[in-house]
Amino acid sequence: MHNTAEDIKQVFLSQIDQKVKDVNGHAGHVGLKLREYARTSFDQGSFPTRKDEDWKYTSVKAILAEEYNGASKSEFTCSIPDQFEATTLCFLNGVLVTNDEHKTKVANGGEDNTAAYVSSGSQEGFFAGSLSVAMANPELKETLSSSVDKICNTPMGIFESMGLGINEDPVCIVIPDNAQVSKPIHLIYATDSKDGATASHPYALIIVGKNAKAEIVESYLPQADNGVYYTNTASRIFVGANGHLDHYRLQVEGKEAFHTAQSTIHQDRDSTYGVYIAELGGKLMRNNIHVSHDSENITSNIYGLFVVQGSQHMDTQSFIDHAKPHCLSNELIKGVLHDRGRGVFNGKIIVRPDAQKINAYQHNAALVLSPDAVMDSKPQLEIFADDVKCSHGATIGQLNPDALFYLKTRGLSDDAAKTLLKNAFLKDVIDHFPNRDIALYFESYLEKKLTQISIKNATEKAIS
Amino acid sequence: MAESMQVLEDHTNSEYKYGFTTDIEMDVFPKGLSEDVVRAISAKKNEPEFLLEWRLKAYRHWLTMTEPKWPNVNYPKIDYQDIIYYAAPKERPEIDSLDEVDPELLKTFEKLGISLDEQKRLTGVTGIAVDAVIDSVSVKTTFKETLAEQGIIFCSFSEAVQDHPELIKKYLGTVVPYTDNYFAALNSAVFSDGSFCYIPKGVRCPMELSTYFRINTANTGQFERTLLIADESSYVSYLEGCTAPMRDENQLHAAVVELIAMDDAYIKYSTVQNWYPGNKDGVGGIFNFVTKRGMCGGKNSKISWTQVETGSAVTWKYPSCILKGDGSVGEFYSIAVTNNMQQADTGTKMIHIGKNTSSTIISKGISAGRSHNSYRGLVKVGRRAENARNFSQCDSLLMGDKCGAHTFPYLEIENQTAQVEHEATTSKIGEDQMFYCKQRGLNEEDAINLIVNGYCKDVFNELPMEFAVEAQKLLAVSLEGSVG
Amino acid sequence: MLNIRDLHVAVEDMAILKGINLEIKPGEVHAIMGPNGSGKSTLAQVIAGKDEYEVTSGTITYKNEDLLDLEVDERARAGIFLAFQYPVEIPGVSTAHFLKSIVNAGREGRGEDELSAVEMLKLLRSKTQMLGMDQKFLSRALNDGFSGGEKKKNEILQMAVLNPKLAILDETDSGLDIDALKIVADGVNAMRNNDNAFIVVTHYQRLLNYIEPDFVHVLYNGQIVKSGDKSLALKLEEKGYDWIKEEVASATV
Repeated sequence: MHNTAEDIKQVFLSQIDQKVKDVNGHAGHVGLKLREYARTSFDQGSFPTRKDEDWKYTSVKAILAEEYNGASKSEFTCSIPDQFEATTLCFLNGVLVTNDEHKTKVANGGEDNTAAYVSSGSQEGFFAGSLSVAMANPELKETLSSSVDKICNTPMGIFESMGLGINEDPVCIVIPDNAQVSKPIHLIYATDSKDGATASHPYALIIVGKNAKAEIVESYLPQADNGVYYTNTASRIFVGANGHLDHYRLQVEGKEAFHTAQSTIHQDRDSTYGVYIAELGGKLMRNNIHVSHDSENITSNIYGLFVVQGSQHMDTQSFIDHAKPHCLSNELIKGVLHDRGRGVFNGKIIVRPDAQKINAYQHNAALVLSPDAVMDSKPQLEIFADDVKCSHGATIGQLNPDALFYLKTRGLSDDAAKTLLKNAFLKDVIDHFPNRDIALYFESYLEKKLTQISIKNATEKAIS
Repeated sequence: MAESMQVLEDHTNSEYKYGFTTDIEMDVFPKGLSEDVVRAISAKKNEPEFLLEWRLKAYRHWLTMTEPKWPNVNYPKIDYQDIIYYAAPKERPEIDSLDEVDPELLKTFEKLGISLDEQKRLTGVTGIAVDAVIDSVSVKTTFKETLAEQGIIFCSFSEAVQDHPELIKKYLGTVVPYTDNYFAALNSAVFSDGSFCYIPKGVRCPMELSTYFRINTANTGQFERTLLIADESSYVSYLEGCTAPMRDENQLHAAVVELIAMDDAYIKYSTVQNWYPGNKDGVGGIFNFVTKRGMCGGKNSKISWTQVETGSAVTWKYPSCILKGDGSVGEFYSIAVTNNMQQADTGTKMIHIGKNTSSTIISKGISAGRSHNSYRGLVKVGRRAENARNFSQCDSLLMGDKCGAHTFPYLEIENQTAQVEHEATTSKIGEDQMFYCKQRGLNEEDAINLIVNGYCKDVFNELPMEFAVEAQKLLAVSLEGSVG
Repeated sequence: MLNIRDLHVAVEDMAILKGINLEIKPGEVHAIMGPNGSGKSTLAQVIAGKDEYEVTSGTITYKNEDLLDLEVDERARAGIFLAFQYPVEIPGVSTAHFLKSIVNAGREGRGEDELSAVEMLKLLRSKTQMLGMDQKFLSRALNDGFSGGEKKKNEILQMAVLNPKLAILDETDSGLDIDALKIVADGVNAMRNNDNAFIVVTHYQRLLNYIEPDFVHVLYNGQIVKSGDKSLALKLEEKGYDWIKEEVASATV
């Protein structure tokens, strides 16, 4: 049993130290530089409490109270979606695995069959594999070193540094300059915790080159019915000049799962980054998105939805830092809350003094469908430039009773009518997804969850 | 920008084209205000006893009041003893045909672009009945007979007092009591004329009704009063326009407008206010302190205010709606332009009392020069006002960096079923918009018009066609020389 | 068509362009490339007539007339079109209304009658179709709430309806993905003829794969330091600008 936050920190620190020692053999390894930076950042930081303004509504006590005994030896059994064709990389307990069944999809040349790699000479060329394999490739070395330098020059939070420090071998995706990757790259994360609580720390380094375009999908899928586990994921994303990345995140962790996520996006001039999110699973989820605009003519889109039931807790934090003129950001987060569920949205937009001609739109809408459900919405707009167009709005409401009545007069049951209206409410978010096939994939999980809730409600009503 | 600024500066010198004065022989009271002056005004107009009593009560109440200080405007102290409270053209305004009107007066209205000649008006696409008010009195009302055929009463306030005292007695002060505010009390004591209109049950007024107000005599205050009653299921669209000569001293205009809409009645009231705004350094100009209020007393009644405010040195007015009848609707569409040293504090009050009432507020402020433009609006939803709806949108457009735009929205919601939405934006018309339009081949003037009209589109859409054209022109003139 | 001689331009007393020489003949496409801050956008804006920039010396003649004598809108009506790097939003003014106004302003300048409503509609329809744009685009307020790509397409639409003699594309390709880039390039290529000319300012060589330039100029530190054909652009893509900077440095020593 851990007693204090400091004790807990020491446990993780010793895990990081072990990993640093493991890599120490390879002198000059950028992986080592990253890990050492992570160790320093972790050592200097401390786990947040609810006294920290950014963690006011979310306590991490429950996450830290658990003892995680490491990964068990089991199989990756998640199914690969059939809604869209992709280059798929599968992870079990945070580690990139080869799965015989999916071998052909995963391996595509290269000496390690966990890496999909096509020479950067072609328009379709890209690298997707582990960082250590990427490092061994002379073509990628320069790109990787400069990104690693950038990472090591920006502050790193406690969860990200913990993940980077402990992670076995981060996943690395490099889209070279001018490449147009036609198929999405799909990262599927599964956790097996049948033999006791496990913690995994997936870490991704994503680099999209100049004029390049790619789609990356992250799925956190349930595997069997797990017990308690913890996923602590982080990614660093670089979008080069005029580059374009669409980033999808589907989170359907198991019922007892804790999930913390941190994405930090660095965008270069004329680039576009979009993140499209569905948060459906887990017991306690916290997602931080941090986008910095350090150059002109950048577009960022954040579109997310979440559904909570039971005592699920989902906290989405976004921070868009407009530091340069002529940039655009769009943000829409919608949630539906049932039972004793809790949703948190904290969207911060800063427009720095010289960042003129910024357009920033932010909207957060939630349906609170139970008297015990709580939604905390905190849009924060800090504008220091005078020639900008910014708007934000937050609405928290109920299902429209007129619409509900109308549907029922057409013969729908109360639950079916409600499910239909909830779907319509959230569909608004999915309609912004640029890739229709991926949208369908997300919708299938959304419908599954809404149907489960509907059945549960119907059953409860029947009993009472 | 320097060169094009110069071109615009040149334009600006031709700024106020209604600044002429007219030599008409006037009947003028000496300066100053007392009970005797109030009695004299009442006597001059041969008023019934009840009206004199009402005026005196108002005057006595006014003496106990102090001038309000809360508006976001600054102006020199007004000396109420230095104002002329009654001035009228000597020619008696009892005019049967246009031939009897003082030719100077006709010229005045021609300069204003208003024809009092019914024949001329009739040749136009739509007929507009005009009541023309110079200084304190109404001088000519057109189309009276045509309207009378449908039972519509449209005449000067003084005539209404003589011909329909029962209506005046019944409705005067019921929407804006003399106790309402300082300037309303003053107006109630000394108002000299104005327009009166009554639309009977079920009548849809066949033409636009309009009043043109003009201050002519120096040192006069203008205190007109408009009372408009729309009986059950009737409809009327009413327009008012105002101008004044250029004078170095400030002149006070303190009007009161009362609208009453009964069951299912709809009143559309539009104003183009172009009182003299003073010169570029803020010398002279009209103080425009006006109380306008509409009572949606009947169920499903509707009152819609549309105003284009470009004139006056200082404006202080809040056309409001009391939504008492169930299902009643209030609307307020406003464009307020301030340039040079002008100040405006304007907005609306929407008081929701009945059930299922709704209101819409669209306010577009444009500030240029060193002017200040404030929107002040109240949305109040009373305890019994179930299902009240309000939508407010308040936009400010800044031209240049020496002007100010301020927004003071007040929301007082006492009923949980209310749905109140408020949106606000502030933007800047900049050199980049001008450069963009000019790069596409538009000249300076067309570029300004295009940008400003785009910004004001939502409100122009609400104005009657003819007024909309006039308002667009007025806006262009008011804003010449203000981009930079 | 356009002749720029020893053009020096300053903004707030800081010299930006330091002796530009450039001649553009009808039928030509000139690409101007260069590192950040080299003065590419300044050159584009000076030709269009932005008066924030002070021409301290040198001349620009357009069709044998002194261009610097003309106002911004006069230049536009004389056939000069600038596709803006950052198109400006004008709320409340529909794109259709704006297009109508600018087409008629141009016709008035040439002493032609305004287009009738039917002719105008036909013109706008044919151009939106040519660019593969949705008709709904026309009823939206000009650039208001448009995405970056939509704004850039709108610039090309305006260019197509105005049919200018000299079109300057200021980083029109920035922020566009490959599909939008092709639409823009197709629009330009469809308009190219022996009577008109294009100046294409770009940061990315990629555009020149789709709009083939006759000349490529490198602007560096306010001067055109190197001119060549499209192979120069490929060399820049491959090697960056450092070798040019070095060449300039060694030439001045």
